[in-house]
Amino acid sequence: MKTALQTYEPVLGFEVHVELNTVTKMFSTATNAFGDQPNSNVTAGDLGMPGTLPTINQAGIDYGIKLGLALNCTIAPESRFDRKQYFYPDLGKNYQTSQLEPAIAYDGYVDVELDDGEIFRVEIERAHIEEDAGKLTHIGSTGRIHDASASLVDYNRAGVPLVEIVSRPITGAGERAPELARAYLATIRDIVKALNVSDARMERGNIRCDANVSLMPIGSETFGTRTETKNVNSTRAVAAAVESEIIRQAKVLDAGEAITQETRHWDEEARSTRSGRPKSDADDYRYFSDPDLVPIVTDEAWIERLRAELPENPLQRRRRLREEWAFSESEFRDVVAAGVLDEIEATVVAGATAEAARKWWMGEIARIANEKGVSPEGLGVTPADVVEIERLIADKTINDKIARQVVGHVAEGEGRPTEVVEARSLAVVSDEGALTTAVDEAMAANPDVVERIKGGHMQAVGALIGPVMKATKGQADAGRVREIILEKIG
Amino acid sequence: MVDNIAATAHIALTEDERQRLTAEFDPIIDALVVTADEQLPVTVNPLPVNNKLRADVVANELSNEQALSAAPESQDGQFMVPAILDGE
Repeated sequence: MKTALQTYEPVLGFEVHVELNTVTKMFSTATNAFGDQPNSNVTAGDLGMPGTLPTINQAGIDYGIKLGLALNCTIAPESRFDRKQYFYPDLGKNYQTSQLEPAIAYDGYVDVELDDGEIFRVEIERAHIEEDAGKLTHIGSTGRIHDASASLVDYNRAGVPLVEIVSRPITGAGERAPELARAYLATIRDIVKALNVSDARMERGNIRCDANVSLMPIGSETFGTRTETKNVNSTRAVAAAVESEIIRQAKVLDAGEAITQETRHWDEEARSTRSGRPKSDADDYRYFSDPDLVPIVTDEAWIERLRAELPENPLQRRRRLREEWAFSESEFRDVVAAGVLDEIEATVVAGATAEAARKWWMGEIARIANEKGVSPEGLGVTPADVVEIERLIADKTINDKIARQVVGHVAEGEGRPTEVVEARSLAVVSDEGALTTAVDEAMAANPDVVERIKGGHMQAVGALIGPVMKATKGQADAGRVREIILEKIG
Repeated sequence: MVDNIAATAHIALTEDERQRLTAEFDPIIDALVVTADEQLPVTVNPLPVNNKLRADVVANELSNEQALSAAPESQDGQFMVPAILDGE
């Protein structure tokens, strides 16, 4: 990519589709849910049956406005819905209900934080509300679309509300174009997650990104011909797709050939894009206003009510928390990457120190979660549990080693930490008599170690602590054991 | 234009049909040009009715059997349609 960027300046553009997590679909009263029996979350309207009429879901409009506000957009005083016609069996109506002009929200921006903390502002052209299409499964000899003999259609997803966020062309990213692509998509994901307007699970297609890439000679102000790589559905993949497309286009241009304006597909295995179909002109969709749906007219009161519900901007929140917790840049980045920011915040709110919260969520909890192949927040250990465990350690009821076992037992569903400690009799042996006996036995069994300690080899104490811990099944307070040993040796 | 619309709509035309449609389209397009006037008010929703919104509550769902009852062909609870070769 370095060679390509000596000659060309990349211009990026993103269209991000966000599936909203409303209870029902955008224009019908069918359930909006993932993974149900095919064609069970449908009304007659979703199947395109004649004589049916659409209705507008208020929640979908509210979510669209909130997302628009979070993207610093102007909310349209009046917007309407249009029919985008195309013939493909993933929509029974033969058109997708969308918004041509104006969108519900337009002229915004989003500040994207790059790896080194630099802020790159991406301008948002528009965010419009539309509906998702159904799911096609191509059946045939190989499962590949070109060999398919028939297709199966599930309309459960048809009509699920989407907000499509369209950026303006992005220039000036240079060699950081792939990094910006990844950070932009992550920023949109964080925003919709914070707003709770989407489940925001990219692996389920809740957020899908089309990446536009073109190159222009450095110094030029005329954009080159762009390609659109469809459905790049992870932050890692969008970075790789942008990089791969920059390299591919530079080769084409260097050879004196022209870029074809087309849709391309990201091939995860080959780590490159491949040609799809030539892109249709907007004219081919023959947009026209949907006569069955009335205009959406917003007023100040409505917008301000929704603005009041907006959460703190994720970027500002991260900066605030990093400062409050006094984590280093790399510690904080690891926490964000591990996806446990919310858990650590909740743990701190529940009474733990930030350092202790980080220790548990990035340490033992992350380790067990990783072992089980689940996310840390899905393990079943709550922020309150972490606070309880910290309290048990501070009380000297348990030591660090036992505490880690307790986390494991809580994750197994054995109850809250205090219950686990009681049920499994894990409380530290604080009976001085029992500890002294164990120390005496350990010293008697290891006279050579005792001699070495007497000779000034203090680190040899560990060799006596070990047997004591073993004798007490790990339930002794190591600090206290050390004290007793040193008292005895004098 | 006729060719483009036919291609977009996945319709194969014979040469005769093509010529007949081209002849029919021309006067329609001439008539439409007259209305392509930005001064004209938008009349798609002529009634002063806005914001007809509904609550986000499930209703009127079909069962899988009802949904497929009119399908010429189905398999595994899904509609079966001819192979799509030029889609995405």
